[in-house]
Amino acid sequence: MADVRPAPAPSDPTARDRPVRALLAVAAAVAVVTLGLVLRFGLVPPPELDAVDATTRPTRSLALLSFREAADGRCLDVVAPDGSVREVRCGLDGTTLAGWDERGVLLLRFGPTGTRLTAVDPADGTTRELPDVDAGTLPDGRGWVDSERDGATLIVRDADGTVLWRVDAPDNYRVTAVATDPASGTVALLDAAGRVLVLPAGASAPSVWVADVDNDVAELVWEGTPVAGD
Amino acid sequence: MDEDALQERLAVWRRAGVLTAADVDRIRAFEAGTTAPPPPPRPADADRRGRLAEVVGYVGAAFTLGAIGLLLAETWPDLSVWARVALAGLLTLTALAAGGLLRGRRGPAVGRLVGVLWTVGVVGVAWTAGIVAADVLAVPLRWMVPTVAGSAAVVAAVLLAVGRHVPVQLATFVALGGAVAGTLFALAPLEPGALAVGTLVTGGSAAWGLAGAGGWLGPRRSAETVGAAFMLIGTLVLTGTGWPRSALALGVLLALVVVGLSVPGSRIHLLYVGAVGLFVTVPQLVFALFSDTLGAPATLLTVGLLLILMAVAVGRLRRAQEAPHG
Repeated sequence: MADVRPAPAPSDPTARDRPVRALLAVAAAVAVVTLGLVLRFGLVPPPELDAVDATTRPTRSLALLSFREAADGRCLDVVAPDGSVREVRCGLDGTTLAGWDERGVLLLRFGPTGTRLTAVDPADGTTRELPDVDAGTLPDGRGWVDSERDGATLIVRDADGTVLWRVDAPDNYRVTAVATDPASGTVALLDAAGRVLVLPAGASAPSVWVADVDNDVAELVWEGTPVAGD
Repeated sequence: MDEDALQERLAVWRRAGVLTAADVDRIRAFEAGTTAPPPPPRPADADRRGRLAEVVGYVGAAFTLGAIGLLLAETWPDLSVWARVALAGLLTLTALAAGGLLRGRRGPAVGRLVGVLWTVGVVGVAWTAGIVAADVLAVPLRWMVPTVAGSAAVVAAVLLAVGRHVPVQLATFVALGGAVAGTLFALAPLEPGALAVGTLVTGGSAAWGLAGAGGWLGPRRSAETVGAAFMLIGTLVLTGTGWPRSALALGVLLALVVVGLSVPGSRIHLLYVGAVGLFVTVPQLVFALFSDTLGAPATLLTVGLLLILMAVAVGRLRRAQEAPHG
């Protein structure tokens, strides 16, 4: 905030308040450089990844539970192996994904009388309560994501601490949810760009399964994931 | 001291600014044995009474606005969209017009009132724009901030150009920052991270402070203070990136620059901002560099040295400010 003019006389307050063009030019230069830096380094796209191919394409479907602004509530979507996304049902507030077996997509519903398990038919969205199921624990397949940064590198680990993926990415890129297919070991990841990625067992980098699910925060569960303790 | 010596000393003291003309007259009257005129009320006392009345007035206005707000909250859900727009627009125009009508009148209290009324008007513009954007135009959520902040920024900038009031300047800073940041982030492929936000806050605030120091944003002191403070806050945001030590080092460097810039012209407000910045950033940097073993004592030592340096600097700047002008 330097004032490059010579100090004005105290008896001349108007001289002190006179605008200084040099400082305006410096301010404009700082603003332009700032915008350039933000555009160049701050607003960069997510890491480029290949799309799934015949060898990496999943053979099972994936359920996503997320908040949808248009519906003003939580909605259940299903991603088919071909990458198409279909809305199954909305209005699922107060629930969390627990599994997906022959009874349907299973949701834990937390209520004043305790935790209930609800099955949603992935075909038509109808629901039914499963009163005799012990819904006291979370499922095996719905893992939590642990990601940390080392400079420009993002490191994603599973619940056991095993490194799933290491990638150079902007500081605002992150993986928000993961789920492991209990049959194949394939890991599904949802990233900050709203992409659903799949990482086959043993692979070092994921592929893009769905380019944009219009949400970067969701719960994931694979078809064929049992509820723990069931 | 004889009469001539007294008159000579009085003239010297008057020229040096030690005595005012009124002081000289009273001393002369006292020495002459006549009754000195009663001293005028001290400006500080009058100013204090005026400010107290002003504060009471603002508190009363806040209660009144609170009551209107409660009444509005009761009926708001039942109002149609256009009734909401009309009501928000009417309140906004009332505040802006009242400020405009009072603008020509004299007095510092009136000037401050104009600033407050226009700031309320800017907030009202944002409110009205928000209703129009959400309920009439169905603007997508990611474009709401640029729409609302941009509308407010345009009005605030015009008002700041018309009359330089501190609250209007702050409103312009917030609205303009929101508009620029909101637009950039609405276009971004990912949600903004610490690097984008921190860079924007640091650089944008530095530009604001420089423009204020150049006299383009007036009042100069508040523009410098806000610019310097948010510039340092921006460096703290940058610590959320993968390079926290570099961000802290940048914060220390900029805080030192702010302290350095406080010396020419005795800008004590910059000294305060820079000092707070140093107190926040230096201990964190020391702790980050020397880890857990040396971190605590090194931080304590650093804070102690900073306190001593600040005490010396404040004392010198105060003396420089209070020194009589020849």
